[in-house]
Amino acid sequence: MHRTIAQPQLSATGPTAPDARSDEQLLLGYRSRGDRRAFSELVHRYERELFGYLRHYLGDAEKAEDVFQQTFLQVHLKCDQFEPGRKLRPWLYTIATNQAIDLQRRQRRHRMASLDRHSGVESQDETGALVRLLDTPEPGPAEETELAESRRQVRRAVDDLPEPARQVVMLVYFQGLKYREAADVLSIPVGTVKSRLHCAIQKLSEMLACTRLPK
Amino acid sequence: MSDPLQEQLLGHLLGALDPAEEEQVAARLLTDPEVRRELARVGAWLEPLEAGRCVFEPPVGLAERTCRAVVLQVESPAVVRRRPMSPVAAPPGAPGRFHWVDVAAAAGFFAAASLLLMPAIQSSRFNAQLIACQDNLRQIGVGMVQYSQHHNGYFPCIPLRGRLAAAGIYAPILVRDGLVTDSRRFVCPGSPLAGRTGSRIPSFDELQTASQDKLDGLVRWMGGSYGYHLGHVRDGVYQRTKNLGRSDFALAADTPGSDPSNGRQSPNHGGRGENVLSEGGGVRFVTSPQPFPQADDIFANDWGLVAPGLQLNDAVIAPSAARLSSMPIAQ
Repeated sequence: MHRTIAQPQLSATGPTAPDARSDEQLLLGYRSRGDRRAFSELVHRYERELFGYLRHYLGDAEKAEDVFQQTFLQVHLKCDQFEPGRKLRPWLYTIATNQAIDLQRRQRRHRMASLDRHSGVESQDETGALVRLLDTPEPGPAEETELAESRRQVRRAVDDLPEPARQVVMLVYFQGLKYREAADVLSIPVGTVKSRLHCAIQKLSEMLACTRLPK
Repeated sequence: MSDPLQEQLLGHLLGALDPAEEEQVAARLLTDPEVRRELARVGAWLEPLEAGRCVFEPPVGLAERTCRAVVLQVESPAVVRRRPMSPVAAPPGAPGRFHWVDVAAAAGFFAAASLLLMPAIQSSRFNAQLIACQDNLRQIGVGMVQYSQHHNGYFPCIPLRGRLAAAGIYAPILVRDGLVTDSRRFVCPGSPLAGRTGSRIPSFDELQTASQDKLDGLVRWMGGSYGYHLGHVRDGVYQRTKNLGRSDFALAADTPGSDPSNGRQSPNHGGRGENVLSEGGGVRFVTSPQPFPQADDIFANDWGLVAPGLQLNDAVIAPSAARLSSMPIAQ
């Protein structure tokens, strides 16, 4: 995964230039001194990456925004629990993933309590639907439409994977986490991450070979 | 079924291995042709998945709103407002005819709506261009791999001297060999070149017969809006690049800019980052010239120069007009 350079943003509390401190130094600075600039820098630094992850994971921009904000609220509330020496990135992904799962659970309960729901869209959500990819395909030439369709097929195939495999694919393939980082996020052994990803990629390859659009 | 070698090779292609394990795999790939064949097999599994990658831009002001929500929580823990409140409802009961106040209000509304919608429209256009650019690089990558299969594993080589001795020569080579048939594949829709009509990749004949003035112009754009890697130097001798399927080795990318102070940020995509094609065939959008964890700056070699790499894994992407003859390398 690439290293993301924080882009300067104008904000009441935000930084105006990239901060050279590491993610971990920023969090520890916020924890020990209540340094709001450090916290703001962290939020800006992960804005694009974490929102992208949640948008993929939840398939909805509004939910992704909610969970993004909840994630950093949890970072604020739980920063005392962050152990020095650990890497921040997997810790942040753990919080974000848990928040996303919580949201899905809450919505599932809400839907079960609702008697007048529509079954079409929600039944997809109840199975833990991962993503619906692009909200709408970009209008344009045939190539773009074809590309959007291919993208939807891939996402549907990922969506059909069992939850544990789907999580590993999201973290390692789409987010570019290392095996070890994904193992940290999911609290499972590195070997399990490797084998789950291996099986998932093989399965996806087979599924997509059947559904691929003719060139 | 679990297969440790395939799991490692998958990790290698995705950049998911720890440095020690990565080193081990790289060493095996160099020495064992069977492992290289296995890498190609595993790489083929990933190919259909590439279409699923896309970039979701965060909504404008998300970080600021998040910071405000947390500040609010710190100062008043009972209240957390996540997003701005819905727009205030319109005042009831207007007179039955238009009044200048209505016109002013409508104008204000449209101005406000435009201000609100413009970032979304721009973001949508940015994403569309980004995805189309990634598709271009993917096609170029396929062409390069096919080229390497017909040339003992070597990618298109930049001549050391002569009329065609510039980084952009990779594009006329791929077009000449029929490996990329559509010249538009070499034009990133987010690049300044996209606005120029009639842009196309010059043929070898044109390049060979053009006057010096015309040649300079052709060479400048013959690589389209993408930069190509310069190869590397070993023991003082310039080396062509062999296809080792490395997932963390940059083969081509949005063309670098000329300003070292901003990391030679590409002018494509509004200077917000670059799409990078790796030797393994993957394409990533990165916001730093250091896209891979163990890699150095892809727009400069280990000495910080736009010149061939100083070792096998020192990838340097240079713009179309970059000439090896003007660079500090031994023969």
